[in-house]
Amino acid sequence: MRLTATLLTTLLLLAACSQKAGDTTLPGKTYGGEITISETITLADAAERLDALQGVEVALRGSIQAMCLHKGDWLTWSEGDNQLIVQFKDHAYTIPTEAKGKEVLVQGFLRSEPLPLNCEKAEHEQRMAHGTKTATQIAAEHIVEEAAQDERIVASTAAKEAPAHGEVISTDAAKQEAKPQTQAQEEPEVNRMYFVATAVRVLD
Amino acid sequence: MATNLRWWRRIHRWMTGYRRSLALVLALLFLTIAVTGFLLNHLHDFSFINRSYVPLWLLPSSYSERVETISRAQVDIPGGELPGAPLQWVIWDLHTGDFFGPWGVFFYDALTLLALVLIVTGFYMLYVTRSKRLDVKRRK
Repeated sequence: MRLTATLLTTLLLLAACSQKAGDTTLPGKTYGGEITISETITLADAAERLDALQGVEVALRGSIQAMCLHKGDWLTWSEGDNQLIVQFKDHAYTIPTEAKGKEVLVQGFLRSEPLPLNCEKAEHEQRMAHGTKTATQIAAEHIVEEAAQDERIVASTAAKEAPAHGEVISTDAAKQEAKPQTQAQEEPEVNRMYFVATAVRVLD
Repeated sequence: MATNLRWWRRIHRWMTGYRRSLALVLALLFLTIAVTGFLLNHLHDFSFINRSYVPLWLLPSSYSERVETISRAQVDIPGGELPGAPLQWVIWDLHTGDFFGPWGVFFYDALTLLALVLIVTGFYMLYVTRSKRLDVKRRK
């Protein structure tokens, strides 16, 4: 009993000691390291200067459109034709899945390809591909697929909710509505960029 | 009823009485799952989890490969080389059984099955002995 109490107290003390002083100028909570860059760049800027910004720490701001709902280990948002997929440095930390839809400030490094996934499943898939796919290709496919699935979940939930609001959609009308969506999914002409975040601040 | 009880008790005792090492492994497994489960529930409350690394010499060799893969992928990032395996990886793997390699999950499954048998036999024995005791009291 005494041992359990000591262990719990130590754990709580450790947690209290490791609470960040953080920058109090911004609302919300920071995950990973500290946000040290105050000026943000836009996605269009990042896309234009992608080569020049390699290895340079930058900060970007946006609203999470899709994220990993299993672990919270990646997030993504788009601005116009540009899409940013954010992964976290070393896969060392995650953010709460409740952050979806919220505004975030991310600090880190822009990349043209994602980090490989950190899981046995991805390694197995790579072995099964017999060298035809790289670890980064598999990671990109997984993230895009999960993001699409996330959007599908949102769409199906919205469709289910519609009749509850008194709106009755006939099957033909629903099919017609669904058509442009599938067409849009088939034409992913987006400029996809990857980002390894050293710190993420989820703004309230 | 008594014969049934003996049979159930034999199973129960075989697991806990005669095989104490098995009971110890089972207890350690539950302790690991409970502690890592608690930490996973509070991943975002305890920031030390997000910032700590475990030295590779403490971990199975499979971690070296994973650390090297991520370090190689982050070569264009300043400080991209990992000082060890992030604590979060280790917590997840200890919780799921991946820590013990590909057989780790099956090992966890087997121990879970044993634990389930213990729970069922324990409850059955408790129920039977309790009802027996009540019968004796009523007769008196």
